[in-house]
Amino acid sequence: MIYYASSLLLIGIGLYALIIKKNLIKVLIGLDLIETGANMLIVSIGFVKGGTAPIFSKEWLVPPLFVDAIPQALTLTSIVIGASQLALAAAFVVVLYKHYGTLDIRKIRSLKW
Amino acid sequence: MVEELTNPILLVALPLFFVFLSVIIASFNKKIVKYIPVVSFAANLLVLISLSSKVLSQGIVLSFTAGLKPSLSINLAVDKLSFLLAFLTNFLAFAISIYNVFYIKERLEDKFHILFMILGLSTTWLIITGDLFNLFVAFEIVSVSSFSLVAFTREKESVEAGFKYLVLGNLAGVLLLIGVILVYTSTGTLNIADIALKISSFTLSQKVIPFLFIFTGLAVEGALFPLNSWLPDAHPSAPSGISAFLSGIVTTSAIYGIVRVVITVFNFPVVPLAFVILGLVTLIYGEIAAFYQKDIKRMLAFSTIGQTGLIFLTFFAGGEPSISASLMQVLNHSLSKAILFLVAGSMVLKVGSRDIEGLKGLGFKMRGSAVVFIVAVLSLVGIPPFFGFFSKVNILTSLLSESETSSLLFLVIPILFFSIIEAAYFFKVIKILFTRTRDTYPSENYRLLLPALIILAALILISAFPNQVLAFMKETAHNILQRDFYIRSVIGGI
Repeated sequence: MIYYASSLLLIGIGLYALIIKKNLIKVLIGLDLIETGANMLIVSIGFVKGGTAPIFSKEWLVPPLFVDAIPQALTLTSIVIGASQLALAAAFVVVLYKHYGTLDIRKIRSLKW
Repeated sequence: MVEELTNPILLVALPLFFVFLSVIIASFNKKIVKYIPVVSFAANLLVLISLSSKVLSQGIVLSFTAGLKPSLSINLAVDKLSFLLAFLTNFLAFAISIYNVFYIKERLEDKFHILFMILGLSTTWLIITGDLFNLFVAFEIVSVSSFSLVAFTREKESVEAGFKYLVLGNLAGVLLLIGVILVYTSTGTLNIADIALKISSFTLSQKVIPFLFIFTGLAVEGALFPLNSWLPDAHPSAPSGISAFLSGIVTTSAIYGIVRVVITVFNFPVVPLAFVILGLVTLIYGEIAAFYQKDIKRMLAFSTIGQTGLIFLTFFAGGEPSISASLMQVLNHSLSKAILFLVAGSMVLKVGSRDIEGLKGLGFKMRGSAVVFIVAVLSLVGIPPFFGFFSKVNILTSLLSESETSSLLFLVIPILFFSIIEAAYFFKVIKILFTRTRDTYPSENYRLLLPALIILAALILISAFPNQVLAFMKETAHNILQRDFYIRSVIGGI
């Protein structure tokens, strides 16, 4: 239960940073927190208390309890995707800083935000 | 040989092969890379043509990984709807990659063409996948490649639009992921057909929460009100070929995702009136905002929002007749909006500004482009000899024929009214194109017109055979609603 609560809390903090903060880097940190929270949520959904890794090395060695491995595989995929998106976002921030000389969202408004 | 060609996995694998090939080639010769997307999407079209007879006769073509049957393996499922959209995607990608070859700017380097191939292949993947997690991954690849393509010119405006799109797209991805995982926890599988089989015993309240997450995620990319604030910035700031692809098919592919999830996966029993209202609000918002735009590409982008709303609302307004009408509108919108963006792009390239007033008198200089523009507008708005007329008529008749049972008769009025609004702002542009001025512009670049002409040929071809197209759309609509058939084919593993 604590895993669910803490991952939801992480998502909440991330959303707060995304909406309230005016610094582009802080917005990125918010995005990262949201993603981390979601990934944690997925892993904790597959978690079984006292379970081991679902690896069958010998035929007679079947663990009595094992965690669900699919959510973990999904999390790996989603971490990779998240990392690439954040790298791209960081590159955007660099270019925006070159154009405007500031990281303040309120000053970067050639479009309607 | 033919048997191997008919495997749908080639639709993703072939462009991926060409992507890696072009990365290698780019290290030797950067000039050849721009021709590779043309070859790649032409190859995809050939694969689709060889698939077509099988899809039409069987109704669905499947492809499994690792030789295992689904629920244990990942599968691709090409039913008639997927086939239609995949064909449209690859056709547009083919024409637009020709456009990108001639859209000469020193900045459009090899990476641009590679990213465009990735966008094309991931859109196809999103459309043909039979697995919910694959849907998520394809969605994310579509997003990442379109963020970077939108910001590709590295100008102030485009990077800012790209950043805004990225923030919203990223949130959408997380929502979609959480939704997919919630479905996984309650059913224990990620295969669409398997989920559909298991979810039938669920109560409505168990379905609603995961559905809302998935729906919201897809609705951001599908530009449904109020999640579409990124679109009017992102679509115009992209290079014109990309604008055409994003507006023409990427938005529609997200709508396809919603359709697949609503009809095949969750199978909600009642006609979702909320969807109709959502579509209607999107239609109203898009068309009214488009009316007030001074920037031609921004106007086209808002018109895309409006058209998406129309497509969405018609799809869920009733049974088979309105679904087939909606699919006709998809065809009409994708083709004519792609033409409009391509032609407007080459005009903007000539004039150097996106201001509508700045296009004054251009119709006399760029005659070919102006004529193509007018034909596309006539079709989009729905003027008789062209395809748009038949799709609009079908939308109206399908609504009228079902009005006795579903009391959606009131929809006819806003649809007609906003068609008139749409006609008004497009004709305003045409009038400006043909206002005489003293300014002189360089004349037409016919190479940039060629891809628009290819798409126009397709549009005129379907305008000539509206009844055959309608018959095909009816079969497709019937095919979508046959949920049991889908489940049986995948789980049974034909």
